[in-house]
Amino acid sequence: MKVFIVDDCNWLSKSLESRASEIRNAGNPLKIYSLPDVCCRESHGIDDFFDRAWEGKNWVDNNPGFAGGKKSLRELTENDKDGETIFLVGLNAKLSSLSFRQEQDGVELLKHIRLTEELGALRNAHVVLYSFETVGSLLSRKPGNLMALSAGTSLLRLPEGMEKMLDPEWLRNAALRKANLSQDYFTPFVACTYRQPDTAHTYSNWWGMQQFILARRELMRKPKISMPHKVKEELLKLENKKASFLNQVELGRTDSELPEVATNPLGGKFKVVHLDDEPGWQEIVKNALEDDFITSVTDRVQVKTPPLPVNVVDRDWLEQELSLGTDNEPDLLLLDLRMRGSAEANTPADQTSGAQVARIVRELSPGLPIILMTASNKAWTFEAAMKLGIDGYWMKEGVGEHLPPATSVENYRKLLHLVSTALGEDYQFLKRFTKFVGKLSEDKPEDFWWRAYRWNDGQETKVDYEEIFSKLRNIQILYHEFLRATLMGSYLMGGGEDEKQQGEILFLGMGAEIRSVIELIHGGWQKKFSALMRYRYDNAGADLHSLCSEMVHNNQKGARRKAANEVLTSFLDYLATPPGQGEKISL
Amino acid sequence: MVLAWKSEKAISIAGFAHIDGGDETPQAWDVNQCAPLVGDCDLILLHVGEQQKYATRALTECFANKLVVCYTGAAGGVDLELRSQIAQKDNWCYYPDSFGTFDDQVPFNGSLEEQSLSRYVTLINNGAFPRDAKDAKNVLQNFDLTLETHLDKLYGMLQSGKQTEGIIEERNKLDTLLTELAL
Repeated sequence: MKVFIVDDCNWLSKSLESRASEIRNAGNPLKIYSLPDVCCRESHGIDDFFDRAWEGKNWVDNNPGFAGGKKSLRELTENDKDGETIFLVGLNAKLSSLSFRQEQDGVELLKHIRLTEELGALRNAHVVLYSFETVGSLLSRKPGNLMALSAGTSLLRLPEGMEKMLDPEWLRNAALRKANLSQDYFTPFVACTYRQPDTAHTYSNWWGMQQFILARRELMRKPKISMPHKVKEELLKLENKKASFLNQVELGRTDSELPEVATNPLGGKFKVVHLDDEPGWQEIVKNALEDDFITSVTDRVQVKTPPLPVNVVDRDWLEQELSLGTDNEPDLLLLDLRMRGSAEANTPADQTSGAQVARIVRELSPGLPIILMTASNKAWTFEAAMKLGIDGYWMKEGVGEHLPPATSVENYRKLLHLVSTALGEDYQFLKRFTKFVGKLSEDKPEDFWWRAYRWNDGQETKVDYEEIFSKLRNIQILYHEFLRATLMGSYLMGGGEDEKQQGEILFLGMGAEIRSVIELIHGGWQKKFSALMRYRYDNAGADLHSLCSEMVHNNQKGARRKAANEVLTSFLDYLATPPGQGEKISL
Repeated sequence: MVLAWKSEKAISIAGFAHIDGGDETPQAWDVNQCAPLVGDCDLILLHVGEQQKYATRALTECFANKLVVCYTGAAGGVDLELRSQIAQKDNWCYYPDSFGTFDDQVPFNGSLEEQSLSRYVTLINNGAFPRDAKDAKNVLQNFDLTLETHLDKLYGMLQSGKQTEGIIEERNKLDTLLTELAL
């Protein structure tokens, strides 16, 4: 049996060691390990002390054959079988340079042992707390000490308790009494010593990352995916261990299929840029998106994670880093809402750094899909994001009220789904359409047949370029909105039927605008317009006009069955190809 | 005069000035608002709430040369950052009481926090706090030092194999000490 003694003085380990040979002779192999007092003096807080005890090679091994060797608790307990370990802990020990005797660090250490998941079976080990104080004194000065009374813990009052600790039979029996860490039993002992976080941001970074990795391990069956450094660092803190215990979230199902990523029509990999002030998020999202789409397409996504400048809301930096408005711009932008950390935890959503960046990006590249990533599940944050023209909204997991409306696995799958959709055929088409409209606005080319045309009936029509351009802009915006509503599920909080209806309205809006462009090209709507177009041999225009009328009138038979991008492709073809028998005239 | 953070509660005990974090009262970290109130204070009791960064700011910006005792109701005590900051100056002190009670969950009257504040007030009235702020730590952490001395003595007796009766006699003295000073 292994006995681990934790105190800031060595009186107990000496007493126990002096009895060790007697104990061994009684047929009860006993190994005693203790920490030198310097370990307490050098520790900066109890969290640091625990880390030194668990990971650091600080335990002195004075047992026969190991004279003076030092090992970590992790090493010493690696192959322990159930029931072989016991901790003897001085309740009033000052375990760090910043501790006070009356803070009863021994109980804090007990909390670490019970709440550190990494300890595995050692978490349940029996812990003996010894003190000259009474139980009443212990609890009344710090009611959070209730954990000292939980199962698997003995509270011994000195000096009477000393005899028990020196009795091998008592130690052996005590070691068999394990802690009960089931959620039902143990929650009250943790809850009474837990302080709720004051803002979501306190947890969003590390908690979200932790759940993200857990979900990936579960969903992708990749148990070896490691936690980012930031998560490990936060989990050293006792407060966060309590939060983890109290807010355990169901990971969720693993049987549904994963989304695929389309092939990039331009060849090569899709370029994704991820802006986030927390490098840990950038790292884990990059790894996930580059590895987790189904195996045949693992090399189709490349995620760039630039370190952020001091001021991320810098138009020049964004323009340059994202190559906005050029052929090298990314296919998708993943954007954190609050990139100034807790400094903007209380900033209204529409004024956050992420919102400001989104405005700049929208202005410079209207068709670039943006997925906003935030720990906020507030309706007004969602609303503000939608007003900015964000395509997708993905919630980083938080605790308590900041839980996303799904399990961790479903939430992770949602991110994969959003990314796969944003890189899909429809968004690629939007990108091409937006580029076409942008080029039109810059170049104002005169060689489009419809700028000035003499029809075969002798009629000449001239089109105001700006008028057509503004219609095309409207169509582009409506199509973008249509995709947000129908594909990204981002339009309305409610989802389902509401989104479908919203999509239909946008669809018929596009039809109306395309129809009016054709009418402008023919010099305005006239009676028997359809017959006129046919008479002028503009059959493509007549077909498209009729299709759009069906869209506008919500006719189930025709256009409804056509995909929006098919209608728009026909429209672009129409603008590019002059009808038969007429001729382009110079302006 | 004594200033206390969260002093709706403190006011009920003694004539405390009111500084709090809300918009309608002077803010403890605002130098301009605090200066007129802090000027004549002998002692500031700074209740460290959940927003511990406010306490950090208050100490640096407003109470640099004042005798300040930080205390909290938070179950885990105050954050390491604040604790390290307190350790930097002799006139700042952390009194490691943890009432384990949160806002509005337990009535203040009769609570552990009230008892603790009452104890401070008694100590003040008995002249326990010196005018010279440099001595703050020695005086205010007296309890911890006394406890430490007693425990050392008791552990020493245990190690030297003294008679249990003698140790129990010493332990009873410790009990009395804890009752008098801690609660």
